[in-house]
Amino acid sequence: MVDASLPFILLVVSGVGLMAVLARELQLRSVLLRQIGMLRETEQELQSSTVDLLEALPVPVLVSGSDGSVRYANYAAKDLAASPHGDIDTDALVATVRQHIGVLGPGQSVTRRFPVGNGNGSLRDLSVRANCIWLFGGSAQVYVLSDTTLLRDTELRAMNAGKLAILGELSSSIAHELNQPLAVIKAAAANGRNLALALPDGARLVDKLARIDAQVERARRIIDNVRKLGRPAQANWAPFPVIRSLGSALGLVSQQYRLSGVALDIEVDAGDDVTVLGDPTLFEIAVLNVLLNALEAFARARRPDVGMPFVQVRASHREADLWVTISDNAGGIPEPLLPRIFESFVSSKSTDIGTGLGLSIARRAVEGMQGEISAGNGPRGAIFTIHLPACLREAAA
Amino acid sequence: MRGPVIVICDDEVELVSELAEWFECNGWTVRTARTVAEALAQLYAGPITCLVTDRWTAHGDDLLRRVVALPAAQRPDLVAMMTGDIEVEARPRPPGADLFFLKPVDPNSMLRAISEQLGARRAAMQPGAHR
Repeated sequence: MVDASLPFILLVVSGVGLMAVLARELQLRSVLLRQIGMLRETEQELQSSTVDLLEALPVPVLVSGSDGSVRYANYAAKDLAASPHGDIDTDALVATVRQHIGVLGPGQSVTRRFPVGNGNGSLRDLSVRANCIWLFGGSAQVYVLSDTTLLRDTELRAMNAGKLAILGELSSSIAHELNQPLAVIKAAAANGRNLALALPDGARLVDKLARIDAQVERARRIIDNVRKLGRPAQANWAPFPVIRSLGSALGLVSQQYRLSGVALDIEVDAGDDVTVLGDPTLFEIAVLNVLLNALEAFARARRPDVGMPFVQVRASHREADLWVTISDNAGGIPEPLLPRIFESFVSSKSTDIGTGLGLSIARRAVEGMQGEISAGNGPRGAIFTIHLPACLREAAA
Repeated sequence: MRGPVIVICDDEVELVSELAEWFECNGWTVRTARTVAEALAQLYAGPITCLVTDRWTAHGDDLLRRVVALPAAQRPDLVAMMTGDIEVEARPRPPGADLFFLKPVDPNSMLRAISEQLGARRAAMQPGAHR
């Protein structure tokens, strides 16, 4: 009987055992499923947090798949990808970035800097840090971008300043080297004049030699102005009494004005204690060039209806700034020239009068001292305004 | 009668040639030099009314220092210096130079300035000039 029931007993035991194993397996699977569910929830939370984090970042971040499709772009990236017309094209931005960086493999990272079209004809400079990481359920190319246009512009300005500094250093040598042959030409012209005077028809030759002499003078003036233009700014500027410097500049030209029959009308509404941070020589050069420009303007076009030629200089200290206005009655600056009047070699005067560098030097000098210079036309002539941040000199202890 | 004697010292041969012609045409006896040594040799050789030297050729103020150290009989009555370096204009005038000219100098202005300076000196040396 025992023998007959044994298989049944074994079957029952096996069945119970199997059921127990299955129950245990079921329990384990259930735990696993729960854990997977929790992990999925965590992953979703992480993704959501990552997106929130990326969205909150002030730097543009783009995520693309290996195929180049854009999978995510934060607010800053969309802002960067916006065209001047307001269209957002992150696909084009990713395509440009991929063009410069390529497709990275897992764990790879690279940093590149390159220019990108701005949609309005200008270029912006981008710096991109690219990584290949697991994100959004797959391998993703993550690009962290930085608009380095301002940095590039600053670098370019620094480079230009460096070039100008080199030019400044070279200008003295260049001036010396050019003044040597000019000295020979000038002396030869003087000797030629002596010889020409002895000739029966020497008068014409004397005229030609006078023209050579005048052109040598012109070349000398250009050399002198180029040297001033290239003079490097001083790093250790100090406040200087600006009204005194204005007086020095006026003193330098007063004789020329007297000889030219141009009245100089000066009105100063600022104390001697008003100072400007910078270089007094540069300030004097700026004022001097504007004053000489005015004087030369009378030589260019003396209007019969203006009466006595005069230049007014008004200096005032208001709103913590210094304003110097220099106006004349020489008829004004031709309108087409007005927007370019401070550019080098732009002049309405004939080449034997001006070099076309004076106002350019004036602008460079004023802007070098954190100031502004502007030009316009009044009813009678040109008006130049120099505006500089000023301060009052501290009372002596 | 021999006119005033001028020594023109410059390593720019063509400038020396032109200035020499100019001064000769205006009654001067001209001697030329291309180096400090040549200029000093000319000064040792005889009484010189005026020395005109380029600053570069004169090794800055080197020639002037040597001229100042010369015995009175060998010292020129007048020393003029020329330079093409515009920055020099803003610096103090080198000791020993009575006149200073910025290149490209106008020969006529140079001659006039030298003549006036010599005339003023002669007038000052007249008996009773300092009374």
